[in-house]
Amino acid sequence: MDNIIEVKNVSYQYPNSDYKALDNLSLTIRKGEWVAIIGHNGSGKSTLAKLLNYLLVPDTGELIVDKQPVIEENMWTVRNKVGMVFQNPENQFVGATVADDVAFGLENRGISRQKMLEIIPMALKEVHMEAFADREPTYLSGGQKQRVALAGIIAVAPKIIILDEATAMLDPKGRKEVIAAILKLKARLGDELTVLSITHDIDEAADADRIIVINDGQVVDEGRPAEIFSAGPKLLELGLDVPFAEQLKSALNNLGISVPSKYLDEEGMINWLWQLNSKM
Amino acid sequence: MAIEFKNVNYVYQAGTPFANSALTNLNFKIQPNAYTALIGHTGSGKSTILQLLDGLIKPTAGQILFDGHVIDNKTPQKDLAKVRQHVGIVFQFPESQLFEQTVLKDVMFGPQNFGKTPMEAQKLAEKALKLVNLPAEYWQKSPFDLSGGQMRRVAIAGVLAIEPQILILDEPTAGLDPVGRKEMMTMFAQLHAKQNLTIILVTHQMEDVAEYADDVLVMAAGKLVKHADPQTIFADEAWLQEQQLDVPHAVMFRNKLVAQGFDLPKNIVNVEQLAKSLQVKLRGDGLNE
Repeated sequence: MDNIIEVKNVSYQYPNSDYKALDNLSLTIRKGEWVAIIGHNGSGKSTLAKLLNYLLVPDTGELIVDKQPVIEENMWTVRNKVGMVFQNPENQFVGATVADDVAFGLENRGISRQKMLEIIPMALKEVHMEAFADREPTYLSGGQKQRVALAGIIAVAPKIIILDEATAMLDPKGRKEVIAAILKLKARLGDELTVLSITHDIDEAADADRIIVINDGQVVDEGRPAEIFSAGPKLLELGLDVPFAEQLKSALNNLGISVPSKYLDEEGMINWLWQLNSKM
Repeated sequence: MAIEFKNVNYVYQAGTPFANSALTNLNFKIQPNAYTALIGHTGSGKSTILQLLDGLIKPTAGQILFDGHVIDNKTPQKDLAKVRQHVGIVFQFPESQLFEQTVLKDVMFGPQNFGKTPMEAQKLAEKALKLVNLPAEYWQKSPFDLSGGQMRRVAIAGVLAIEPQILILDEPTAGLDPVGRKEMMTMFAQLHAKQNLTIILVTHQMEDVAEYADDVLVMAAGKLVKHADPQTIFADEAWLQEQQLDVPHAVMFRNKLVAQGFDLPKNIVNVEQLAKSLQVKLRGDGLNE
């Protein structure tokens, strides 16, 4: 499969900052991949997202999105390909109603009113928010707001969706709703959609095909979720919660019970405990 | 400081066609130096309770007692201000409320607002900044040049500088990474232990409820539906799910094991307890052979 994102030796330093937010960072993402980017607060994850959308301009290095270099002349072409959902649902509403808000991106792209009337209900339906089309965004829950933000992105059909800690401010129910909406969209669009999720949430990271770990502005590790999760308690340093099965493993280990070294998900852990129990 | 709610009702826009009852007949007591978690689904009335505790609104009916000092519908505004001096509230994303030129000045604002002299306020501010572990080298910097986690510490110091007896925390770790969350919650646990603070924590993080709280209030549709210790609350997963609330991961995992035929005690709320019970179980069965 083709690479849809290429980041080559990119460095970026914020004005007034003493250190590089990104330090000679390189990575590639294949078309249709779902990649989770993890790292603790301040590791440079969000800076990378902003560079991909030309919200920031790299000091050195090059970014390529869907074969287009991310440079000033291509700015609008690139932004058409990349939709972003940010952390705070309050910060991304412009419309007086939910439907108006979804219309915003379409209006910006000069889509005809007739076309918009087709697209908006479809996009809202995708995230199960069609019943709220005429409501004021203010009265929605956090999870509902994020799903409306997602509908606004679905409406303009980008090739890449970047979720920049999009579920960090939500309660557990809202988080599940948003993740479910993205999973559904990804299942429908298959390789036509690439998802980049910047997250601390273990459940969100577990849905990815691949996890890239960023620390101090550099890629320090990458692999399938099971490979990365087997780091156990060290995951905390990488800015991710430790999966519960791994927490239990290290708690048992501390009590002198020998545990398998390979990563087990919860079901695997239950099976292992069950076998151990019946052997005794 | 002890807090008691006696038959408290609160109606938004009372006496208008838009009247909307947010709290119905609320009765509970919070002991001095308790660490109480307030949990409930969005819209269950948690925020209204916080506003009542901070004296931002008065109960429509009923009484709130702070160490015997009564707040009811007739309490004059200036008496509410007195209560507010004893209650520090850390709102969600408190760093968005920073405004001063330096960290120190920002933290001094609260005490000065309550009538302290600049000298006194500075002493209180320095003490509060030490409590949140912000090194002195940052005190003369602009709060806006700090990292997100540091900014949040400054905002919390601003609340601690008024030397509250009750500290209310509204989702204090939202948006922080796991290490940042742990540091923040450890800091509150230390404050609770060392400063004799009464803490009320509003959260969706059931792990934190299990680990830190000794008392839990569960709200649903404006009513208090359960008031017990965390073990009792988390013993009934099905009931919590009806309230659209989760149990801590350890409880979920214990229940899955029980469904598979493991015999495990009911009072497990964290991973260490689960590991210990499993150890007893595995070793115990081994000894029987």
